[in-house]
Amino acid sequence: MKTILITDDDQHVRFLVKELLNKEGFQTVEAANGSEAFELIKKESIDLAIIDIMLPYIDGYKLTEEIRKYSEIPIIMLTAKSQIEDKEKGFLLGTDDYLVKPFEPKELLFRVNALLRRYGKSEGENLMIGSFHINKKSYEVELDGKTYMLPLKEFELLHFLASHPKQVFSRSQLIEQIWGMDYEGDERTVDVHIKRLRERFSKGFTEFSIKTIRGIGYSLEYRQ
Amino acid sequence: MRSLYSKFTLTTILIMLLSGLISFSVSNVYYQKELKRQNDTKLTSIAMDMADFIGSHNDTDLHSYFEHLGSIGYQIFIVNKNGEEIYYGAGFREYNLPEEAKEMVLDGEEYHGVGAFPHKTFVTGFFANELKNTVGIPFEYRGLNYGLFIRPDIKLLFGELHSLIAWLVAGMIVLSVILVLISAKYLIRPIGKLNRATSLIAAGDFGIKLNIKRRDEIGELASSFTKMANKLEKTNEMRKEFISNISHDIQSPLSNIKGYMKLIKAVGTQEETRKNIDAVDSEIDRLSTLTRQLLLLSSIDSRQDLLNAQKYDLSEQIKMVIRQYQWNLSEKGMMVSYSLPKAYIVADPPLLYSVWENLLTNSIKYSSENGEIDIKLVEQEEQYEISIKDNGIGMEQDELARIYDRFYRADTSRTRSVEGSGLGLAIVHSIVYLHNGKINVWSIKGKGTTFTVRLPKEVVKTK
Repeated sequence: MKTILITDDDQHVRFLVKELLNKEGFQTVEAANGSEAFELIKKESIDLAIIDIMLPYIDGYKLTEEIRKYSEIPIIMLTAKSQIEDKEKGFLLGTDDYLVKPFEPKELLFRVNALLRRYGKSEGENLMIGSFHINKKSYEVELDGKTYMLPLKEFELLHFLASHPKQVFSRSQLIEQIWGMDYEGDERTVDVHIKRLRERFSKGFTEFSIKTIRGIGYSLEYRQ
Repeated sequence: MRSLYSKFTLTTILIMLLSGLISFSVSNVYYQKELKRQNDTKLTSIAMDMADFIGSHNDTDLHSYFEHLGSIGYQIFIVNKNGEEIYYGAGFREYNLPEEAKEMVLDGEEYHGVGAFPHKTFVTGFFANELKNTVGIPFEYRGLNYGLFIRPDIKLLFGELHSLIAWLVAGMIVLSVILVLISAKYLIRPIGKLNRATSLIAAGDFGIKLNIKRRDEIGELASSFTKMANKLEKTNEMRKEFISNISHDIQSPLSNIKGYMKLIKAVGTQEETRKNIDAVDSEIDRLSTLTRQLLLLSSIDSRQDLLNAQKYDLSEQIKMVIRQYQWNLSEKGMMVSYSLPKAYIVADPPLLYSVWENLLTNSIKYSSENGEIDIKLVEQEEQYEISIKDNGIGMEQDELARIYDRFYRADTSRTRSVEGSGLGLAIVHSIVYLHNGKINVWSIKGKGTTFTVRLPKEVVKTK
C-alpha cells in the first residue's frame, strides 16, 4: 500500500484530500507545517508528497528544496497562487507536478496515479517492436518518431493487445482486463475504443493492425 | 514680460540694436585699420595735384584758386612762412592743428593728419571735422613757402547721402519693429490655438479641429497633435469598451452566484443544493481566471524588454505543458500526438509557458469529445516553428481577424457554451510579439484550427 504525505496548514483541505485518497486505497500521513512534514519524510517511508506553497515557518518552495536534498520521491505542489512565475519556480526547485486550487478531486487522483506510475515499477512491460514503442510508465506510444498521448482506457487497451500479439480476445475478456470486473457499461464500449484506436493510427499505420475476428473479438498483429 | 509675444518682440528689437552696435564697431575697426590709410593716400595725392598746379602756375591768383576749390567741396587751410593763415571752403568744427605740424610742412615735409587721427570707440575718424584731421603738403608760390592742409567737405559732398542713409536706417528700424510685431503675432497664434486644444483634451473633449495649415515645424506639431488627439480618442473609447466588457464579465458571474445562493437558501433537495453549490464554484473559477489573466496581461503590457530571458529547451517545456493537461485531455477522451525534437531557445520561460498553455487549453476547449491535437516543432535556420493543430469546431474567416482582440470571443452572444475570458489569445499574441515572433492562424469552420508560432532562436533585445 502506498503512503502519501499531505502537507497543508488548512485542516479542511487536509481532511478532504485524506478522505479522497483513503477512498482510493492509499495510506496517508498529515503535516500542518514544513518542519512536521520534513520530520515525517525522514522517519516514515513515503511514496509521494502533496505540498501546499503557503505554509507557516517554512514555505512549500523551501520544503521542496530541502526534501530534494534527501529524497527522490514525487512531489505535487498544491496552491492557490497561480501566477506563472510561481509555477516556474516550483518546477525549478524540483516539484514534479503542480495543481492550482480550487482543484477537481478526480484531477488530483489522476495526477497522483500518473506520478506513482512514472516513479514506481510499472506492472506491465515496455514494448518495442521496430519504430513502435509503448511506454508503460509515461503512458505514451511512440511510432515513427512521433509521440502519442492516448486517453487512459485506449492506452491500456492498446498496451494489452500489443503485449499479446496474434492472440484473439473476446469483448468480455477485454472489458474484464481493462475496465475491471465491476464495470457496468456494455460490451460495445470495446468496439468504440477499437474504432477510435484504428482512426487515430490510420495515418502512417505501418507497424501493426488491429483485426476484427468475426463473432469472437479482436487481435493485434504486427506487420512484417 | 510674460507672454511669448512680447518676449519675442523685445528679443528681436534687442537683437537689432546689438547687431547694429557690433557691425558699427567692426566697420570702425575696418576704417581704422584699412580705410584710414587709403583715405589719407587718396587725399595726399589730391593735395599734391592742387599744390603742383598752383606751384607751376604762379600767374594764377592764389586766393581765387583756393576759393574755387573750397566751393567745390574741400575744406582748405593755407599757411605761409610769413605767418599768414587763410581758410577756404566750409569751416572746421575744431581748429586744433598743432604748431609743429605747420612748421613741419613749411619746412617741406608732408603732414598725414588723417592717417594719424587717433581712434575712438564711437567716432569714425572719417567724419571728424577737425583741422587736425587733414593732409598737409608744402608748395612754393611766387617764391614763398606755403603749407596746404585739406580735407573733403563731407557735409557738402555727402549731405544728401547722409540723409538718405539716415532715412534708410530709420525706415529699416521702424518697419522692422512693426513687421516683427505682426509676424510674431502670426507665428505665435497657432501656439495659442494648440494651448486651447490641450485644455480641451484635458477636459475630455477629443474632437478638436485645429485650423492650422502650415508646412513648418509648428504645422508639423499641429498635425501630430491632431493625430495624438485622434489616438487618445481611440484609446479612450477602447478603455471605455474594456471597462464595460470587464464589468460585464465580473458582473455576470456575480449575479449568477447571487442567484444560486438564493436557490441554496431556499433549501431544495440535497441533490439540487449540491448542483447549485457546484454552479457557484464554477462561477468563482471564472472570476478567478479572469483576474489572473488580467494581471498577466497588464504585466506583459508594462514589459518593454525580456528581462528574464534564458536559454532552455523549448520542447521539454511544451512536453511539460502537455503532461500538465493530461488529465483534461483524458477526461475529454482526446489524443495528443507530438514530435518535439530538442530545441534550445533564448526566451522568457514563464511567458512562453503560458503561450503553450493558452494554445493547448484553447484547442482542448474548442474540440469535440475524442478529438485529436497534433503538436509539431520544426527547426528552421534562425527560428523555430511550432504548430498546434486540432480537429475541433474551427472558426469562420471573418472571426479570425479579431481573435487577438481583448475580450473578443467567437461566440458573440456570450452565451458561455464554452468557458473563457476572451483574454487568452490576447495574452499569447502579446507574448509572441514581445519575443519578436509571429503567430498565424488557419481555420476552417467545422474542420479544425491550426495555430503556428514562429520564434527566433535568440531574441534580439530591443531597447
